[in-house]
Amino acid sequence: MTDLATLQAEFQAAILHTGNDTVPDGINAGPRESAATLFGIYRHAYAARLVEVLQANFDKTWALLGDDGFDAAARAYIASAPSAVRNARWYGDGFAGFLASHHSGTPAVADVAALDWAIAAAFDAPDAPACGVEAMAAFHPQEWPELRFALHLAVRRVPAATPAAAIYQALAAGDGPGPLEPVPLHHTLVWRDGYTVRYRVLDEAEDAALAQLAAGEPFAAICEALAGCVGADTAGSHAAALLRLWLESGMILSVSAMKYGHKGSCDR
Amino acid sequence: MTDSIAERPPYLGFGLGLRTQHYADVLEQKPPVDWFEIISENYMIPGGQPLAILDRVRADYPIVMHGVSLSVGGTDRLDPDYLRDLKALADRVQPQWISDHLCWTGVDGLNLHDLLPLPYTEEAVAHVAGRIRQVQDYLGRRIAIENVSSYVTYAHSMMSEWEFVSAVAEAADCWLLFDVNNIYVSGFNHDFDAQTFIEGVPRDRVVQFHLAGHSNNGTHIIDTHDAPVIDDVWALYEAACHHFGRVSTMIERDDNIPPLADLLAELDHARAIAARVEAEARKS
Repeated sequence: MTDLATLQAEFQAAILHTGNDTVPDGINAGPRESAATLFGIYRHAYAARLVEVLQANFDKTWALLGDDGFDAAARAYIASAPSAVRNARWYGDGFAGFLASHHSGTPAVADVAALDWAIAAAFDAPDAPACGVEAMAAFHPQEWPELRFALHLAVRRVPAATPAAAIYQALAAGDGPGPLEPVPLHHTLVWRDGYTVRYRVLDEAEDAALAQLAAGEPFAAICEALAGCVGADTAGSHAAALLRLWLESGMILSVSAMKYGHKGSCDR
Repeated sequence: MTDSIAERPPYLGFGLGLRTQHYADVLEQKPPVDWFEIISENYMIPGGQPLAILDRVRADYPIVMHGVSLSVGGTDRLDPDYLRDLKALADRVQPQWISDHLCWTGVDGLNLHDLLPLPYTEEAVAHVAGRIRQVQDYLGRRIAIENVSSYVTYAHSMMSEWEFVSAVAEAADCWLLFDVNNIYVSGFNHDFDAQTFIEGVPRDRVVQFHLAGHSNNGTHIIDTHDAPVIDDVWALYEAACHHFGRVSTMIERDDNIPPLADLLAELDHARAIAARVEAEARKS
């Protein structure tokens, strides 16, 4: 190790070990302050900056926990997970998972955090032109059962066993969070319509259908999944209606019918 | 790369940092700002509205890219993914130049997201200069390196900060982003004469000035960028204008962001100082 590498390793270790006031060897006292006080500026700044980063990406979690509660949770996470990302934007990937154990008595906290993170991810997800409903005109009815769809990269199905979306919505409106008690497991759909990020709770049928689509299964499998929820008689029309909704919402990037040799992708 | 005045980046005039709070005003009013500086990392993202807005701003204004996490002084290897993303953004933005800081930000695969000071040693000069050259080779252009504010110094430093900055710039053949506020902050914190710093830096390498506010805690100053530029820093700016001549200047405001009009007024103050210095130079 060079002198410079040693110096940096010791400097960094002293910052990350926030529990003590150790100053690395070779740090001078300032003209008016001790080395400990001056070095402490860096130690303080590290955690403070990452708390700010988490506040920016988890603002509804922050609203839910309040300033002190969020600060404590954020600092516990920062202590457990030193940043290994170059761009601070991506620090926080594990925060919702951390909160699941740190706030295990209130699972809504982790669920709201997961929604915060998904909405942030959708906001700056890759740009790609979505298909419109008119794209379906390219396909013969015989091809429909084999049609497969690619979702826009902004689309997320975020699981929760608490009313996370309702809590998020209430906090976004500046209201109190409302009930936090557990509810049956469900998914909240997050997507981006143009540059606007939207979210809504999926009902059981749409969730099952979208899970098939996201897994790359064909339209026939989507219909089959819907049949289990809404009955075989209406599954086809229900699937067509959902497909129209997804296309109109800008959630679908491409449609293809490979089986018939028809690469009728609607990529534009 | 060869040394030639022809390669020197153009003089851009007086700029501001592009901040989200001012997006609407910038797009709708097209304010009298000569150029904008962006924090590179804020736009090193896959897609979405920030990049779309940046494209629109770029259509109306020259842009300079200013990074905070190159870690050009770090002892980990340069991050190839970071460099790839930086180059991709530069290809999109076509900036007038690209800058980052003369500092390190983390080692052993970790990132402290801070601009950490280097020891002023021959070893550090050689190390940093070599890495700047690598970055310049990868990007295919010279970059500008900024002197940082610092709160500590190292016992084994062998030279002054301005000697270190100058030695790195010469060895790396890079440009300098001269942060006037930072020399005020570090001068206070380490008891050196900021004027000596100004006079100790090679004139032909400085392509940009930064101006900013800070927080004075009495015994030390923290570089917070959350307040207007103070009179003592304006005085140093005037001295820097005398020494370096005409240099692209911008005000960095990163926190406690005021209305755009306040920053435009502050920028006019910089314009007035620079104009006064130029007029004096013409007379003499």
